[in-house]
Amino acid sequence: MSEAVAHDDHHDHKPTGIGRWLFSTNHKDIGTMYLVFSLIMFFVGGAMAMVIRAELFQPGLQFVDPQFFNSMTTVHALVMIFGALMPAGVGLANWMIPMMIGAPDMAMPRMNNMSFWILPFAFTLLLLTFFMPGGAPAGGWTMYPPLVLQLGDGFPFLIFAVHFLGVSSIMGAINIIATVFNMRAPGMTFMRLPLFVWTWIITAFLLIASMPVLAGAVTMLLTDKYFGTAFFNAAGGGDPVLFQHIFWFFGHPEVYILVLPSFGIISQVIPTFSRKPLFGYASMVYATASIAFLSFFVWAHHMFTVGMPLTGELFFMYATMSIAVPTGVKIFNWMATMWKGSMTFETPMLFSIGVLFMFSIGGFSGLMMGITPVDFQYHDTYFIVAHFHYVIVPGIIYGVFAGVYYWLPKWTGVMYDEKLGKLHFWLSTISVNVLFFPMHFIGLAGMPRRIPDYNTIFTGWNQIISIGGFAFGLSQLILVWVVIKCARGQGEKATDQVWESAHGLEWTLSSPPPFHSFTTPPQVTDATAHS
Amino acid sequence: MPWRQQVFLFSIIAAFSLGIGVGFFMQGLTLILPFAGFELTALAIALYISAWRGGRKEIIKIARYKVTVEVGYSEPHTIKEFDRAWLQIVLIKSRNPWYPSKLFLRSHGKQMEVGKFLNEEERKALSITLKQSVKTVINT
Repeated sequence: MSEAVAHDDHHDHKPTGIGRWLFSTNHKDIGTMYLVFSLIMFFVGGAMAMVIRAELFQPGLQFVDPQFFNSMTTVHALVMIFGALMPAGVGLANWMIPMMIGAPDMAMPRMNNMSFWILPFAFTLLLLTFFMPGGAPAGGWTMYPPLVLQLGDGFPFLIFAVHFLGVSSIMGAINIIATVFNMRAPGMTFMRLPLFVWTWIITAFLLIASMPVLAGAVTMLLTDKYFGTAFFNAAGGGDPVLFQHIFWFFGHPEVYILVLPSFGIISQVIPTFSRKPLFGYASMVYATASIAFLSFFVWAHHMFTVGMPLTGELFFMYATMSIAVPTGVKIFNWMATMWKGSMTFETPMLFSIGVLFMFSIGGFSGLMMGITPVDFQYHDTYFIVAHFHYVIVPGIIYGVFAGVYYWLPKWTGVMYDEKLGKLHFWLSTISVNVLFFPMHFIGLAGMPRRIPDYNTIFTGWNQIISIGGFAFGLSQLILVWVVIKCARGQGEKATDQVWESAHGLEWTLSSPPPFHSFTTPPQVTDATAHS
Repeated sequence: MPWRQQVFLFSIIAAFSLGIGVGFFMQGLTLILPFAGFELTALAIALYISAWRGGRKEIIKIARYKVTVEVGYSEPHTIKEFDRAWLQIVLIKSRNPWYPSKLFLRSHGKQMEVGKFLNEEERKALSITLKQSVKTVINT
């Protein structure tokens, strides 16, 4: 006799309780954990920024001693870059890439779980240094020797935290490459991939190429301090400037590791709310690849003042300028996508337009700094701080915000509160400009970065900057409230397509999507593909 | 993606990454190359495993008296036959809900696991489909 004995009759095999999160191999759960972790780290790093701005509200020393102030600037950067921005990008990739390419999950689900759970462990190591003799790292996130070697007991914790963060990133990158290579749905050719997926493949290649450099660099710092090597010790025949070269060989591609996924997100959002296909899909792909390739040849523009041969300075100046070309192609294509489109301005679109305008401000000040002779004036001033914060906050974080608002109805099944979303955008946009734009002025006037005290002539602008900083920090609580409301299911029910002009496989799934995305692979055609 | 294309793309990534490692090695920065090597090894293993898993096939043939399961990649490497009339299709839930269930075909003291690469919903659907198919054959 034949019989089927079904001992397992629960429908969706969704584990419950803490185990669902600790042992999850589901790309959506892991994506959610990455995003929540990123939001927490955003507030941890933001709290450090508030300490910095409170101290700088007036000249003189008010609240913290200089050592702690320097720890704040250093750890703020490390937390924001490795704790908030990178996990946000990986979280969005985890959530969206399998759904966009028609895969049931990531190629290596267990590795995906491990790559997430390394992060809280690594940040515990890093943040524990605040309670150790010698304090937290205070030599800048760039960890330049010999300054960083003066750090107390926290030094090995810093190095191992960086190593673990690197391992996590590498595992994420490997997973994304394996997923996109091997798990695309039938018909999902490379030139039909959504731009967000393309930007992530290229980001994954950047991670693969640049992370060993960081890992090697920090390991050499460790051996210099504890094992008697002299890689960066001039007294032993080494060269401290060589560390700067390898750090920035990693560091500049790192900028694109952060920004490319943001470009990918707004390449999804702008066509939807312009009700037109993305202008110049192929050129967007090639421009992204060009930016990534060129990012390996510009590192020394971060260190024009350390002393380089004129030929070297010229090379790095022209190479830096050349990155503006593919970046310009992208900006042009986004604008051309909007040109004569039936545009509407929902929150994701507002944040995307914010990226377009304010990333360009950061890009243009970047071009100014790429000109070697004038960089000698800007170097280590607040002009630099203004530049990279315009790139990172409205360039990258706004891209993440755009993605969160764009996909939140898909993730939760309910529409977010549009009024709160717009309030979040406008308060953030006003405050972010009050926060960062005046930094250009005080930077050009000569205020150096990474100092807790300053000349009284800078007081007025610093007070305005601090007020902008507090306002920006408080504005982010709106996002938390919006997300909590959606997670609780408070709001209008979202349709499967959510946005009337949204295209792509992710919109063919229900809102919220099932625990396992595609049980049978969808067939992709030109009509269903983004391109 | 075909394996050859994957090898080609991997070679490009490896050449670039190792090139950087070798360049720095020649400058005396010896510890970058080993990390690049570890990382590329991990990438190669991940690509190989995902491609290998993607190529796995299980074919279940239901004939008048026999049920045959063929398992393999390009061609079957394991073939097992079961007596259809005595076939049991058993879906066993794991003791720990974090681990997947297992679907077995059993008869005459032998058993074989099928559908290992499916998710829970698919595995359950397969067990129902198999049950119906086997019954349909018997009734006709």
